[in-house]
Amino acid sequence: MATVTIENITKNFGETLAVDDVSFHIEDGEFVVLLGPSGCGKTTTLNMIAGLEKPSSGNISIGGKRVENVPPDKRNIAMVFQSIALYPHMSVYQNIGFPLRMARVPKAEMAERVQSAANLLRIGELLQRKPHELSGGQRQRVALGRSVVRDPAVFLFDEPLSSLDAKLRVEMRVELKKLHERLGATFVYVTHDQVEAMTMADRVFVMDLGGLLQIGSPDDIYRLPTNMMVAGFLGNPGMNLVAGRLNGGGDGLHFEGSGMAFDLPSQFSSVATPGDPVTLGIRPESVVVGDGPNGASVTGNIFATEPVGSDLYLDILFVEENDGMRLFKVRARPELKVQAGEQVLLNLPYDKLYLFDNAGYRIYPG
Amino acid sequence: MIAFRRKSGGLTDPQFALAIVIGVLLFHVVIIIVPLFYSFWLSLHETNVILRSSDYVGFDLWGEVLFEEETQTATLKSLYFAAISVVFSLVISLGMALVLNQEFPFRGVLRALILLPWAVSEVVTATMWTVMLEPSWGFFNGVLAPLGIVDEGNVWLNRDWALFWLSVAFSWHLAPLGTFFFLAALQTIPKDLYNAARIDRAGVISRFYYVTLPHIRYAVLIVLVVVTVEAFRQFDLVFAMTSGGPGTTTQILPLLIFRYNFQFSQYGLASSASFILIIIATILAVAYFVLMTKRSPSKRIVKSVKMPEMAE
Repeated sequence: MATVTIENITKNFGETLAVDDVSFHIEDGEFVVLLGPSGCGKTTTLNMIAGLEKPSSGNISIGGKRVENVPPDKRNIAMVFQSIALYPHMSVYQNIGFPLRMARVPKAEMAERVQSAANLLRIGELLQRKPHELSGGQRQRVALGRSVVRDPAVFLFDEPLSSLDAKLRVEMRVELKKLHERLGATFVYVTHDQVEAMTMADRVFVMDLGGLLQIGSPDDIYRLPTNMMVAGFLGNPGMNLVAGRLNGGGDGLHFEGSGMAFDLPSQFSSVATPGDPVTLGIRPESVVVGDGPNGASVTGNIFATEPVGSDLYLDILFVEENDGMRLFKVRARPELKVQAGEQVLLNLPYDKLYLFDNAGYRIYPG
Repeated sequence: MIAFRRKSGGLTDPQFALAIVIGVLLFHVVIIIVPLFYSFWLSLHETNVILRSSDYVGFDLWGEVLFEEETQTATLKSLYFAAISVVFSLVISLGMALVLNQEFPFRGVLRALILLPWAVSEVVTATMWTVMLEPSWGFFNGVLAPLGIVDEGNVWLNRDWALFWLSVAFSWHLAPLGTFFFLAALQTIPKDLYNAARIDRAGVISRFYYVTLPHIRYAVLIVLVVVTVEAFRQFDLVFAMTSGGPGTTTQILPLLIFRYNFQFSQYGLASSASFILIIIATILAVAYFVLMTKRSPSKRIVKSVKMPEMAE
């Protein structure tokens, strides 16, 4: 069991800056997800924790010990790869036992540990098979078994579920969470899938463009995103963002954005000066179809409807812009009878609104 | 129902395919099958060029080839030549491939340059090595004699070592071909496997043995077969370097066949010896194949025991 601490690490690949001055601390036994779009530097960060990449500058400590110059095999870590990376010519038994064999663990002890790891992952029946004789989910379990058998202090996962189909991914998510509870080890998990991050993590580290944008519990980063990137990245679909301007009159603030204009109540007056360019944000599930109290009323045209069974998503067009269409997403009840082309009245509750400043940082709620 | 697209010439796809296959087949019959059968016919006949006669003698000439000391010696020399060449080319080509698979500056240029020894003609290779091994002013003696490693005027292509040095020259010539087979195979190995192995505490040698080698075993098989067959049918380089000498110490089977054919006009003998050459090469190729594709025991267990299906 171990903590993982990263201080000011930077990684350059030639001219490219992959990770830019990132620092964080992971508690012992914590399940942390590094979340971000592809190319954000999350895998490079993980590889540096693993020792597969050397940081250009900065410190990495595992269990309080500095490890920048310690090779991967001496860091007491295990890693599960995106490609699963089972040794194709070895049986399941040999795959799981490989780290023990390399560590010259006696045969009898190895057999016992492989069997118990396999049983934990419910692949005890498959030990004689070769990887190509297994299904995707079984292969994933073997890869997990190969990590579990070493009893490492830190588990590293590099998008391990991305090669699985959607249904299996949901099942494996639960299993990974249970595995973490049972082992109590530190998990560092890299993914671009926000659902994986939200469902499994104790804390989520959101990354983009090589930098760390926000650290927080899944609930925190969803409800209080620090900036527009986090707000737009989290949620499916992400937060609606409407660029506009705050205008002030004697009787309060007035928001004027592309295709919409409404008054804002007094609680907004402290956050921005009139005349500032701002971006208004609201989550699709917060928008109310029809009229309502305590909210701004806006009217838009339905561009398309997307029924997904449990919900009905409306794509609303407030204004047609030259640089392409910005669709405003609304989650509505599936029973709602509307059609594309119709005009619809929407209510944006004031307590569900977000405001971001010109640099993209959240200014409301403060 | 399958609809075939009409070609501009009015042929359907299968007709077009058939036309091409028949064309190639006819070509093969003329340049391969006919000479092969003629050669087989020759191996069954005692011919006399002056009398322009040919008498059917059955497999007598095959027997002569098999039991004559001259051909037995030549066959053994061919086996020795092939064995040394296989070992050297395999080691050199795999070594070069492993180096060229690493990332370093100007790798592309080096990858192209490394092919050169294979691209130059065997006669040029022979000339170059003859010059290098020349006793009085050659490169080897020029460098090694002053260091006291060999005597001045050391004859490299002597009775005991000439065949060995021929194998070395031949391996130098053939290794780049193997390098390219290996390089192609090495590039198919997922990088994650090496990363996984590193984290699993596997050292450099273990990574080579457990990750690299299993992935390139079919490339090894191909290189083994190619080098063996090439070594058995090798003529140009040996003929240009030593012509079978000193004496007959480097007279491998193809050189003997050449002498039977063009010096002694014993076409039947040359043909039967050629067939024996082909048979030896084929046996070796099949043996490699059987050895390399033998199933591992663990797999056989799996095949025989019915495993319960896992619920996913």
